[in-house]
Amino acid sequence: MQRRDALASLMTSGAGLLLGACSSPPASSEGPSEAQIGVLLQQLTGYTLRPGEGAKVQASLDGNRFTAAVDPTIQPQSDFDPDIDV
Amino acid sequence: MSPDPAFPTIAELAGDLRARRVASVDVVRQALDRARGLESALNSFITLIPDAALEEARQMDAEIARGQYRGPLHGIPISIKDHIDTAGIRTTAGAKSRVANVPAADAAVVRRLKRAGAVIIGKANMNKFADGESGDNPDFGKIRNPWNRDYSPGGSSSGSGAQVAAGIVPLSVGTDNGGSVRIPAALCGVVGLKPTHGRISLEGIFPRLYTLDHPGPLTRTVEDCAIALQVLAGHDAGDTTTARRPVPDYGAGLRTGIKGMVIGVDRGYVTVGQPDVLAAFDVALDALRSLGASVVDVTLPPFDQLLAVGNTIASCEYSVAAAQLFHEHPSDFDAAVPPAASSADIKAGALIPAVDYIRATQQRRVLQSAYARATHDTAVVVAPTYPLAGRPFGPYPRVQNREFTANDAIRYTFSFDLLGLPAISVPCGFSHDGFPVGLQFIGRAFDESTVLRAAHAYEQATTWHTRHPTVVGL
Repeated sequence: MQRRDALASLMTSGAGLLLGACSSPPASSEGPSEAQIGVLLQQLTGYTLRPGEGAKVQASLDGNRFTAAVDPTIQPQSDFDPDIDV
Repeated sequence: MSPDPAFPTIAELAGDLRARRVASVDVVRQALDRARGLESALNSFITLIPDAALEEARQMDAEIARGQYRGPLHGIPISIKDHIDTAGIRTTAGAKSRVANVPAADAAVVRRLKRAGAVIIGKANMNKFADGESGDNPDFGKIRNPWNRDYSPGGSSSGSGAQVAAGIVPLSVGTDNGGSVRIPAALCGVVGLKPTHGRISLEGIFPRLYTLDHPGPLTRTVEDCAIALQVLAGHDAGDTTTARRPVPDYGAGLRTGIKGMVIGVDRGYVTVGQPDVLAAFDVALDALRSLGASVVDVTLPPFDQLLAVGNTIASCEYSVAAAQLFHEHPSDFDAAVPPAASSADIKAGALIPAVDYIRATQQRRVLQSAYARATHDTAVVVAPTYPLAGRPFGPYPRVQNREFTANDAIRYTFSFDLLGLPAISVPCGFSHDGFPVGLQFIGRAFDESTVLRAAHAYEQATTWHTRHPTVVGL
C-alpha cells in the first residue's frame, strides 16, 4: 500500500493520523490495518513493522498517549525542575 | 544491637580503616572473596575487577598510612550498576551487544566516588537497559534474591540490591526511573535512596528516561546512605540538569529524631498490596507515632493521573534514548522480559505526537503543584515501597483477588520519579514466608536531610535492618 493510500484510508475512517488513539474515537471499529500502520511507521519514524507487530504497536500507542485537555497557558517543561512554588 | 562482623556498615568500616585497625586491602579482598563465592548463587555481577581493586586498595592504605585520609568512603569496597561508565572497564547496560563498550572516562558519580577513596570491585548485573523490575536479564541471566534464590531481588538495580543484602559490599550505586533503586532495596531488605532529580549528576550514565532517571545509593543503613549521598551530590558542569544548590551536611541532623514531625499518609493511595505488606505498613505508622511524630491524612494526586502523564513522557523519552541502539541492535529488544519495553513499544513511542509530550509536561507541572499543596503541612509522606513481599520471576501473583499488573508494581515508586522528589526505602518487616518489606519516606524537593532524618529515626527504633540473609554458595 502506498503512503497516500494509507493516509487517505485513515482519514476517511476517522482515525486520522494518530492510529485511532486520538481523543476522538475512530468511526471504524476495526481501526487501521496492519499495512496502514506499517506505512505510517515507515514514513514517520523510519522503522519497519515486522509481520504481526501492528497490533502490538497500536496497543502500546493506545496505552502511552496523553490526550487529556491541559490548560494551554501552562509553560511546558523544557528543562525539568522538581522544585515548585505552591 | 552490636555490629554484625559479616555485614559491616560503611560507618563501622570507616572507623576501623582510619584508625588502621583494618586495611583496605583486606576489606576489599574479603569483598572479592565473598563476591566470587556467592556468584554462582546470586549472579549479581557482570564484571569483577579483582586486580584493579586490590591495587587501588593498596594505594588507599598507603594514603591512610601517610595521614591522607579522604573521608568515610576511603578504602571501602563498592559496586556500580553496569550502565554507569567506568573508565577502562566494560560497561554493558546489561546487554551482550555492548560487551565491547569500554568507556574512556568515568561517569561523574564514579569520579566522585573515586575522589572519595571508594574502591570499585565490579559492575553489578541489572535489568537489561535498566528497564523493568523483573531482575531477569535475558543476556546475563536471572539475578537471585539472597533471601530466597527462587525469587527476584527486584530491579532494575538488581545486582546492587543483592550484593548489599548478601554482605558483599556495603554500598552499590544504582539508578531509579520507576523504582529501580527503591524496589530492589525493599525486596532485598536494605536501604535505597532516590534523591531529588538534579541532586546527583547523570553524566556518563546510559540514558533511558531523561527527566525520570535518578542515580542513587543502596546501603545497609540510613547513615551509610547519608555518607554516600554526601559524596555523590552536587552540581556537575557535565549535566545541565544538576542543581546549583549547595549540598548540606547530611549527617548533621540525622540523629535529631522525629518528635513533632508531621508525616502524611494517603489512605486512598495505600490500597494495593499483599496483606503482609499493608500490615507491615500499619505497624510502621504506629512506630512513627510512638517516636513522637504526628501522622496525618493527606490526599495526593490520583496515581492514575500521574501514570498517564508518566507513561507518555517515559515512552517518548525512551524511544529517543534507545533510537541508536534500536537501529544498531534491534534484536536486543526481541527478548525483552515484561514489563520491559519491546520492539513494538519502541516503535510506538516514536509515533506519539509531540503535542502529547508537551501536554504531558504541562500536566506534570499541574501535578507537581497539586502534590506540593497536598503535602504543604507535612515534612514527609510515607507509603509502602513495593506492593509484593517476594517478587517471583515470570508472571506476577494475583493480589487481592485480581490480576496484579506492571502498573501496580510501580504504584508506590513511579510517582516520585515523575515528580522528581526524594524518596528512601528502609526495611520495615518481613512477610510470613520470610521476604523483606520496605517502607518509603518521600520528602520535598532537595530536602533529603529530612527524608534521611525520618528514615534514620524509624530504622533505629526497629531491628529490621540488622537481619541478614543466610546465603549458601560460599
